[in-house]
Amino acid sequence: MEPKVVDRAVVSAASSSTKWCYAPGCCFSQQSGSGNNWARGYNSYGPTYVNDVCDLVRREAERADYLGGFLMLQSMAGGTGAGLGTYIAEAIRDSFPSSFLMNHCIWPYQSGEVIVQNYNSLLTLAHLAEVSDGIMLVENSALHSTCQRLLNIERPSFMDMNAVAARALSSALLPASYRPIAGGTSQSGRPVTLFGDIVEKLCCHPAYRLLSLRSLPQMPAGSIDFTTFTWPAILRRLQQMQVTGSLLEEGLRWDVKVNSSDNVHGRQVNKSLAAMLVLRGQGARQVDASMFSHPGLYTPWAIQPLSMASSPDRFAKFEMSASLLSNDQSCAKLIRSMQDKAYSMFDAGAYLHQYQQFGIERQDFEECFARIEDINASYKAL
Amino acid sequence: MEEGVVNEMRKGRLGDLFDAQQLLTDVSGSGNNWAHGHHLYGPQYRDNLLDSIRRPVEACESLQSFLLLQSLGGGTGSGLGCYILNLLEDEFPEAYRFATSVFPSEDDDVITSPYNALLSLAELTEHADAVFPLENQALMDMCSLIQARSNPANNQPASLLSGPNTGKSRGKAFDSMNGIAANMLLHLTSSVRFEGPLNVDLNEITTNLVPFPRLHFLLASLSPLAAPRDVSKLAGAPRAVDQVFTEVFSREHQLMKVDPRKATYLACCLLMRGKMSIADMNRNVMRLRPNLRMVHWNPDGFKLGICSKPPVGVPFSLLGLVNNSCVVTSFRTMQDRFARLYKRKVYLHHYLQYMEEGAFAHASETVQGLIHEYTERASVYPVVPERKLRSVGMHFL
Repeated sequence: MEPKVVDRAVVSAASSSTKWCYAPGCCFSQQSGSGNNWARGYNSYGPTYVNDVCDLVRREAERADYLGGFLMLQSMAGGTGAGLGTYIAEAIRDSFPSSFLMNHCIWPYQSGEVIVQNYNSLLTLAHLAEVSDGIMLVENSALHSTCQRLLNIERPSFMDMNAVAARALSSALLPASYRPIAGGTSQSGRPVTLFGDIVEKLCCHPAYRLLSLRSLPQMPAGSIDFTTFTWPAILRRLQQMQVTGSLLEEGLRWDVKVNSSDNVHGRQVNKSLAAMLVLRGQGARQVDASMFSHPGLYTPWAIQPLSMASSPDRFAKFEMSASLLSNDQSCAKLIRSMQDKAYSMFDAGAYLHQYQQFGIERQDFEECFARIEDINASYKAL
Repeated sequence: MEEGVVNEMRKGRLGDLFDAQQLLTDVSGSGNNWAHGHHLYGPQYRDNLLDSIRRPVEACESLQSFLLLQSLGGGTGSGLGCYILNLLEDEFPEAYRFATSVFPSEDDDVITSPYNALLSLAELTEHADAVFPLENQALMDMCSLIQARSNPANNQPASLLSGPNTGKSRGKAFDSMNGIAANMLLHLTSSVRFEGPLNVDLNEITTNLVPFPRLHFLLASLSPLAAPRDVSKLAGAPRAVDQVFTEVFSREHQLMKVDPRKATYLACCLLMRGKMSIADMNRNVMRLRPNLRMVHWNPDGFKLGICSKPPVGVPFSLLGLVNNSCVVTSFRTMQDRFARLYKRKVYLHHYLQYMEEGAFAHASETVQGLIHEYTERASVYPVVPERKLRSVGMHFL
């Protein structure tokens, strides 16, 4: 599936300015696609191609000295990324039961890019919730708004949006070492073990696996030289983003404060189960970030919910940058709206024959809906 | 059959594209008789047809779909065409069958066309995966629209869609109309042939636009019809892009003589060719959606596709494929014309030579059922607001 996409990715990596490129023979693609049909990707292409794909994965895993885990990048609205991706995730979980598996999933536009995206996204999420250790949900509409409002790109293309998502992901996952929350020491602590520490600290409960990623600052490349960076400004904005649950730096609601008695009209603080804050740049180790450990931000039964890491190296030419990976309630709202649309389509019986053709019956849909209701309810109770 | 037509194609400019072994002809035609095409020529040439089809299929790496181009008013296109549809369903069940069918217009010159059309429509409902209906009247109106917009004094052809020589010599009568239909097909398959940021394969079209197995009649509309006189002005100006989107939903640009704005949209697909970004498409979809009546269970029902390569001569173009309940008006007209002839049983004896009379009643019932299903499914509001039992999950334990 998607031979053109795979070829383009390999070619653009090989022709980019960095030295890294995809190894030859590490790609797999087929001629015909899944037709935006989750059932086709999962039941039809999954069993057929799982062995080939797992071979490729195994080859890479055996080459590594130390296997930190697997990171899968997929979209949730389509047929191949969602359906076949889910099947491969389950296969990887079977072949490597004690490794970590994290998924970086792209949540489609609210206004719709594929008509059956409601079905596809919910089916994917329900299945991944069982297999994966952590699911990072990234919204297309948030990436779009970031490009339009913060990076001043009037008509963002997919390349721009992909760049924003990639920068956010790398700012969270690049090497960093632990540091105490209050700061002030100049010694570097233990380095963050990729995936092991993230899963241990953030996805510590089997019912709570959805992570959201917030990264600051976002600005056009041309403005970087003219901006003064200060830690208090960055940390303040990041904390407010966490409090309101928004993914965008702009248009934050500053009236929502952490002490719940100050909030008006029942505006809830976005509660998190756990969070990891990574600071990069000058003075990252020394700055005081204790505002993030306010207990009002976290659910009452969490033990040591905040971990902090830092790295003195700059990230992407920003003098100072911060990113926050948190397990919080903001994802649950996305799921709720998509669920309502999926229910109305399901009640009308629309498109079900397309899925039944490949073996996903009404029963399977009902099971997935039940699991999603579980996820929703557990996040609401945070 | 239709030896004249096939020979003319072979002698034409694109004659080399066709493999001579693929062409099947016979001396006499079907005499505008659906039964002659379906029940006589069909079984007679079944093996030859299978051979010709199997040869290119075996040369394929991965077979996705078949495109059937036929007219419904005559005998060969409709009768033999439907026979081939059945054949493909038996032999290659996994491949999708797309039928581009020319529906007979109001002033059709073939007297038995209501019989032929209704019998074919019943077959298409049962055996095709998606049908793109076209009407000659609509295509003719679009050609005259192009003529009206073009400047006869200007030597350049104003539209590359209708083919060369529109201003000067007449050309063959149906060339320009066929050109529009051909462009629709080219647009449809452009994502398969070229790359783009948001590819749309043919099987994605069925998955997204066919919510119920029998409601698979997809209305097509194309825009821009005529390349504007100053092509360079169109390239980056957003206002021109918005114009293209507005036109695609207007009545004049539909390839069938119906008005989709007045009826309910079940699903909609917009395929863009050219250097456009997803932001432009989203912006226009947001702008136009409040004016469209969408069915209640699919309020955001839009599928978007972008292919980077624009068609020849224009910087970008847009194809709209819509599953809309306005096709029901066309079906009702066909049903009425059929009933008028069938009531008197005129011309029936030509058909009864090869088939039974029960088939007519069966076809009529099928089409009636189709019309009923469209009107029922396409209600804007839920018919009965019931309280459904929702799955609750295990969290209450």
